[in-house]
This record gives sequence, structure tokens and C-alpha cells, in this order.
Amino acid sequence: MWSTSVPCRDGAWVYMVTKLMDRIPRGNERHELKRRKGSRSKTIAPYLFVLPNIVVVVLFGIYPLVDNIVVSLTTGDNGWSDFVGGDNYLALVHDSAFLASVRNTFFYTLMLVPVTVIFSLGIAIGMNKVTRFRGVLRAAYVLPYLLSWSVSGLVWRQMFQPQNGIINWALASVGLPTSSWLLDPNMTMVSLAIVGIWAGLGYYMIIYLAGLQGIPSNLYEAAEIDGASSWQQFRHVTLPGLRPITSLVVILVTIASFRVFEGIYVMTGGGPGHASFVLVLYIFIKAFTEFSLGYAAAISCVLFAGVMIVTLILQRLLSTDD
Amino acid sequence: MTNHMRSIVDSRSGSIGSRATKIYKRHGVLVSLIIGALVMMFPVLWMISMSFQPMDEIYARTPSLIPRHPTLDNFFTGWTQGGFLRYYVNTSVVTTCRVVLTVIINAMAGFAFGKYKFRGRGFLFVLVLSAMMVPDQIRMVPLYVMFHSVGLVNTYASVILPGIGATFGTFLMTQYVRTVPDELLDAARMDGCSEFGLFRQIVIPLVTPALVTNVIFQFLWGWNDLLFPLLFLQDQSKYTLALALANLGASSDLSIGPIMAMSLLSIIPVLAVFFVLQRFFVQGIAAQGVKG
Amino acid sequence: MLELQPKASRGAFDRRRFLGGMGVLALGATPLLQACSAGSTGNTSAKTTTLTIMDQYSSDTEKQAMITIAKNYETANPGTTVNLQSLAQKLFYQQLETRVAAGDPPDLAMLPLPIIPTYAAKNYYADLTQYLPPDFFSHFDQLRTQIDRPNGTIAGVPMADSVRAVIYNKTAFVKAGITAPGINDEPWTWDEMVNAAKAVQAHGGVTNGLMFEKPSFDGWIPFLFQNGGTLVDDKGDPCINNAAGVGALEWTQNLYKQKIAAPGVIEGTVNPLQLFESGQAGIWLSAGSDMAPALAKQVTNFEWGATFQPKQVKATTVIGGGDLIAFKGKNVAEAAKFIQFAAQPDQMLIYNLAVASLLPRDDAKNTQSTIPDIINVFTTQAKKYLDPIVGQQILTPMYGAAKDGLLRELQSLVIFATTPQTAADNMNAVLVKAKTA
Repeated sequence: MWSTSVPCRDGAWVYMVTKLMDRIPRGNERHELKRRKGSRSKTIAPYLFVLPNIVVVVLFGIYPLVDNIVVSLTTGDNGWSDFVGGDNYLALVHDSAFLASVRNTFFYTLMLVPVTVIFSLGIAIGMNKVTRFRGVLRAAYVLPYLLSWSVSGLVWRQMFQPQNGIINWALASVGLPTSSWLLDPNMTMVSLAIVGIWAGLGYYMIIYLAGLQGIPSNLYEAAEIDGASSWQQFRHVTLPGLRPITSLVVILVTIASFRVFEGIYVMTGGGPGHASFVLVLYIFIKAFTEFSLGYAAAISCVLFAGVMIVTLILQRLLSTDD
Repeated sequence: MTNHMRSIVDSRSGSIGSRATKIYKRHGVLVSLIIGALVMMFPVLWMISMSFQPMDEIYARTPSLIPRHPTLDNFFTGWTQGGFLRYYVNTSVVTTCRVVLTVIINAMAGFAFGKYKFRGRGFLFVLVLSAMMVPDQIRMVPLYVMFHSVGLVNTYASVILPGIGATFGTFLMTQYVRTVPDELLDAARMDGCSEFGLFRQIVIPLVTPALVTNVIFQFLWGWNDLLFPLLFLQDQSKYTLALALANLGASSDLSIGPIMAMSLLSIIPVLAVFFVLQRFFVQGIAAQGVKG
Repeated sequence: MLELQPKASRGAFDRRRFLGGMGVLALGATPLLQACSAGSTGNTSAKTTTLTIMDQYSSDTEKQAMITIAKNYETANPGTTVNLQSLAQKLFYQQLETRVAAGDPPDLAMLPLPIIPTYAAKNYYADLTQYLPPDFFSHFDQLRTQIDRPNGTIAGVPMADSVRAVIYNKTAFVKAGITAPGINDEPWTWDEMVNAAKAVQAHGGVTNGLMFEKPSFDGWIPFLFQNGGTLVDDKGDPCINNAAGVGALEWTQNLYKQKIAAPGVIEGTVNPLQLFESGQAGIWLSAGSDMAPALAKQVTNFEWGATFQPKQVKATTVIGGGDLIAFKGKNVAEAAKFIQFAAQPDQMLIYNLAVASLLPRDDAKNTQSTIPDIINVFTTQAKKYLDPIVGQQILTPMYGAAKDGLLRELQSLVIFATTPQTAADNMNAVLVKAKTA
């Protein structure tokens, strides 16, 4: 595969191989890009590369966001008129449903992120080691992610039925205690988190798998020659090499958990009561069940601000280079 | 190769017990993975089973994983109840366009963010990041207004364009592009390679696993997307699979058996795409062998 | 050695050609994409008019009925195209609300009763008065059409009246050796109904003796009124937490405590129609008449019947229905024409047959139903056992805004997260808040 994408000159190829031989793991270095004087194409190039993406982002992401901020200051019934200022936001503070959704979303995120990150990494590493059934195994782990929530939500909902559901039936048949799962207010979010973890593992496993490919194998060979055990290789070659990918996964899982909606909507609709109320679901209900677009917009802005802050903090904590 | 080397290392440095651990090491991982896979697949197996079960069996007091009286009725009912072929076509067209546009745009942007220092990079990156956090619900009205004003409502374009993923994919590509060695790019530049040549000939091949990942998931997200088809499509003949299935699932038209059967049919393309493309994970840089 | 993506197989572009390519792409894109808009609603020539209608349905027969009416209209009015879009309820509201808020509502929409006041209060409806004959509502019930005449305008016409009664598993009843009240009998009392449920659970082969309607407060509200409770008092102040209200809630929670009521129905984790169809529940309380056609089609392994809602202090149920409403827009004249057409007895009958609802017109007779006995029960329930106060209180913007909150309190009650008194107080607070909003 490499042979078909010949670099501009063979010299570069030789140069690269030489450099690779004594490379240290990517994650701990800062690299300064040498700037060539008078290289106009190099100065403009990044802007050109990034332009289509920025256009799409601004048109379909930022503009709606700004529009949303404006609408949050209105009742939402008549576009940008019907100004109410900060009333929507003030009402949020006393809104027990809103507070419940904040709590539940946080709880969900705290359950999801560590478990998903660790398990998907473990599975990816295991997947990398096996030589047989690779394709089938990968497909098996990814399959949950490929299903749409309209389907997997219904299946899980059926499985969680306290009386005829297969989970309780299986637990009871081996003598383990059963639960009301979605109908037990203490277990609702836990059940939903289980489903969320199940659905996401394959996705993040893939991301890790792709990341593992990026760690040169001669680093492992060098470590083996030095007598490092598997565990030591993992700690000193794999983990550092995966640092950018891990930070990617942590951030992606966090953002995804904050935005969780469809599965919960299908499985419980936010109930029973407010037991599975999460932020995006509340936005949805306010917008499309109660037709209060302004209030929904306010919740969205709060959600957005929250995710933004958390993500920036994570980025700062986890970033490898600037 | 590495396994072999490791076994040499182990047997040299260990005792009899390490032979056993050696065997476990060789197969234990596989066994654990298989068990894990079965657990993961269980709901899917259940869904497949329901597709073949008649209704009273699905709701029986003692659920069974293997259908006691398997039937193909669910498939017939689901298929005949309405133009699934049409939905397949629509979904394929829309999804393919989305994927192609998205992957190209993401790769280019990822290259820029990952390998260049330029003025405004931080700001633009945060811009992309923030767009990633915008929940879909709040995009609905502004996007509708936008598309309505240019008369694109009820067209394929209205489903493709807002679906161009310019956030997650960009983030993904940026992180992967960062793993490309700078020396390589500098060397190529010194040899007179243009910036675009760098992109096409050096970076793309090196981040192929990431590209494949992006293709797979953009395809998946496009295939399953419900929001934009729901919002913008007003002719049933233009519906996508996700929309048609959601319509079925949310009404009392069909009972759960046919819904499961149709859903099963609808994930086959995604599964196929995945199977075809996932080989390319292994083919990163040719100089690498099997990872340890 | 496989080159993979389209981009990798491009020729040797350099930067200038690349830029040029992007520019052409952008310029060419818009007309190209617009060419994909075959049949979009903006495509009207001078001669033809296009009418857009949004319909929400919960069964295939309902969907087909509207399609038939639309086709009939096109035949009767050559030159007019009707773009009818049918969506399941959950999806329907998303598209409708977005379009309404974005200023591009459909010309007509088939709206269920509880929603109509909410949009009316926001002034979204068209006024069809000038396009309709003065005696347009002469064959309709005056009280019923109030909802179509907000602030002295005319916004639409009733298409269906649905009512809730009780559907039960006849086969299970026979097995348990009990019978349900017939069409000429008095309804069960609460105690009688619960005893029947216990009997059928013990001896009828069902998992739960009874189930409630679905995750909707409308389905439970009859029991509030049956116990003598009310949402608001004479002055219009919320008082759901009076003794009668708490009593109704307590009775409900007890049914769950004794495991007579099927879990998951009010909580929204089970599809009620499928639960009943699979023979797991003996009595389906507050089942709507629109469930009957689906049951007739899909239930093959047991017999089912209908009877009246139980009574306590009084006997009542809750009304529902759907009206065809016109939104403000460019096609108001055409929309009025369609409404006149659809409101004719023969067209309305098509819809009513499909939904198994009652006819809002008094000069039409439903003689073609395949389940006349069942429909008779619903008709009788509406005639004899329907307290008008229920409709007065729920067809208000206040109730529309409070519905979801009320349901959630009810859900908390049936999973034992609250006591009846607390639930009632919380519900009252929801009503108060909705009233002042």
C-alpha cells in the first residue's frame, strides 16, 4: 500500500525511515514547524484546507446557535419579536424538572465516561492481539452501534420488562435478585447507562483500533529486546502512543453523554416521572410537546455553555501538544 | 512474529507455570473477547429472534431466544406494507453524498488543524468544537427557515447539506493527523512537494485507518439519520429508511415482529459497508507488522 | 496496496486548479440541487394550485382514509394537487412545530383536540369565515364546534369524535366465568370492576387483570372525575388535590400495590396495544375507540369486547377527536374549499369508518362498520355517560401546558416514588404554574 503512494522524492522516504528508527513516542514532544520565509503557498494553504469545513460549520452549526441564543430571549412564538429578556433563564433556576435533568445528565455522564473509555480500550487492545475471527469479532462489537435507537431502544425496553423481560427471567433462573430496572426510580438511569455503554463500546473500540495502528511496531520490538513485559510495554509504549486518541475518546464520550436523547426517548420518554429526564429530552419536550420554543432555547444555551466549559477543561487537561 | 518472540522470552525467563500462562495468553484473550462479543450481541440476537417469532411468542410469559415456531410472516408484512425498495434507494443516494462530502471536508480540515500553525487556528478550532455541542433540536427551526428561503425544502439537498458532519469527523482527523511525523512533511517540502501534494501523497495514506473510521461512521450516521429527513421531506416517496421505520414504530400499524424484521433488513447495508471497510484498519504503514 | 477513497484517486491537482474546482462546484451546486427538488411545494405553475396537508395517524387504516379523501378531492377539482403527508404522532409534532415556528405551516393539518387551543392562543390559525357558507355548522353540535371557532373566527371543522371506554379480553372473561356489563346494563362500579379484574387475573390466564390506557394523562382523567374530583373549581382555581382527587390517586396506586394493574403502561415503557393484543391484560381501561380497527385486524387468537367505563360518584369518560384546521398562509381560499369537501357526510364517513370514531355530523349514519357492536358501546358511552365538564376543563391552553407535568406526577405515583397526597399537591402546583404561564 505504501508503495503506490510514492512521496515526491525517494530521498524523503529514506529520510523518513531513518528518522523513524530513533523516534521516541509522539505524545511527549512538542514539535515546532519550521516556517519557510516567503513561502506564500504554505501560509495560505491551511486557510484553504479549512475553508469548506468552516463554511459548513458556520452555516449549519453556528448560525443556528446564534439564532437560538436570540430566541432564548423571546417567547419563541414569533421568531425574534416577543422579547422577554432573561425571564426564561430566571425561570430555569426554580424549575424542578430542569434541575432533575441536570442531575440525571451529570449522573449519566459520570457513569458512562470512565466505563466506556476503559472498556473500549481494553477491547481494542485485545482485538489487536488476536489473529483469528478478527472481522467477525469486530462486527460483533460494533453491531450495537450500527442499530438505530428506534430499534435497539425497543429491544432493550422489552428486555427490561419486570414481568416478562428476558433479563429478569435469566436472573431469576439462576437465583439472582431481579429488579424493576426502568420502573425502579433508583435504577432507571443505571439501566439507561448500561444501554448507553453497550451501544457505544464498538464505536470507541474502532477509534482506539485505528489509533493503535499508528504506533510503530518497532517500538514494541525495541521494548521486548530490552526485556519489557507485556504490561510494561502497555504502560510505556501503548498508553503514551495513544494519548491523543485517548483524549479524543474522553472528549467524544463526554460530549455524547451530555447530548444523550434518542435512546432515552424511545425507552422511557423521560419517565417514570422525571427519573430519566435529561437535558436534551427536556428541550425536546418543551419545544414539541408544550410548544414553548423560547424556553427550550434557553435550556439549550445552558446545555451548550455547560458542555463547552467541560470540554475546554478536558482539552486543557488532556492535550498533548498545543 | 511478536508472539513467538514473546514466548521465547517467557520460556527463558520463567518456570513451568509460565507454560500454562503462555497458553492462556495465547487463547485467553480470544476467549474473553468471544464471551464479550456474545454479551454484546445478545440484544441483537434477541432482535433477530423476534423477527422470526409470531406475536404471541414474543409476548409469552416465558420468553425464548430460539423461536419455537419460526415464521417469515413478519418480513412479508413489513415489506408489503410499503415501498421499502424506494426508501433503500433514497437512503443510499442521500447517505453516499453525505459521506463523500463529509470525509473530504474533514480530512482537509484535520490536516490544517493538525499540522499547521496559523493565525486564528485556536479560534477556528473552538468554533468547530462548539458546533459539535449544538443539540440537533435547536438547529431545526433556523435550518428550516434557511432552506425554506432558498426553496430547498423537500429536496435531497435539504437532507444532505445539514448532514455534512463538520465537527466530530474533523476532531477525529485532527487527532490522527497529529500522529504523522513532522519530519516527513518537512522532508517532502524540502524536496519541493506542494502543500496539496503533501496532503494527498503523504498524510492521506498515513491516516487511512482514521479515514476508514470516518467513512464508516459518517455512513452509519447518515444511514440512520432521522432528524433532517423528518424535518424537510414532505413527500413520502422521498422518505429515507430511518424515517419510514420510525413512522412504523411509533404507530400501531405494525406490531413489533414486523418492525424488528424490517429493521434487520435495514442494517444490512451498514453492516456490509463495515465489513468491507474494516479490513483497512490493518493496512496502515506497510513497514509495520502485527502489533504486539 | 489498495487505494481507497475517491480523493486519493484524483489526478495531480495543484492548488490553483483545486480552488477553481471548488468554485465551480459551489456555483454549480445550487441549481443542481434545486433540480433534485422534483415535486417540491414551491413548484406551482399558473394553472395548478397545491394544497399541503399534514395528517397524524396512529394506524394504517387512518392513514389510508385521509389519502382517499385527498384523492377524491383531486378528482373533484382537477387542476389542484393535494400534498398529503402522513406522520406518526411523535414525529408529526416535530415537523409541525418547526414549520409553524419557521413561518411555513401546512395549509391544513389534522389536529387532535387537546392541541387545538394551544395553537389558537398563539394566533396561528386562518379565518375561513368569508369562504364558508353561513350555515356551515348547522349539522354539528354547537358545543363541539366551539373549539373550531376561536375568538369568533372559523378555523376548521371536526372530522372525528373519539371516546374512551373499556375493552376487555372476552376469552379470558369466559375462562374466569365472569361477564362484563352489556350495552343496556349500568356500568360497573369501581369495586365491581376491580373484582372482575382480580377474577380474570386469577382464573382467566392473563398476567394482569387490568391495564390503563397509555402514557397520557387524558386516559387517567376520567377516574378523577368519576370520583367526583375536578381539575379546577368553579372559580377556575386548580383544586385537583382535594379529597376526591387524592382518593382517585390512592385508588390508582392501590391497584399497582396489589399487582392488578400492568406495570409500564402509564410509565411509558410498554406499548399498550401490543400488551393487550398479546393477551396479557384482561381489562383495558380508557381504551379509545380508535384502537378498535387495529384490534379487529391484528387480534386473531382471542375474542375481545367493549363495555363502559366504571363509575364511582359519577359515570363519565373523556372525549377526544380530530379536527381539520387551517393555518394562516397563502392558500386559505383553497383550504376552505377542502374543508367544505371533507366535511360532507360521505367523505367524513370514510374517515370515521377507518378510525372507528363517532360522527360529528348528525345527518350521517355509520352503517358500514365491521364491528358495529363495539362501536355501539362507544356511542352509548358518549351519549349516556359523558360529563360535559370534562371537555370544558381539558380543552383549554392551561391543560395543554400542564398535561406533561401531570402525567409525570402520575408516573411517580404508580412506581411508588410519591404518596397520593404528595402527588396530588404536586399536580396542583403544575396546574397553577400552567395557568399563570
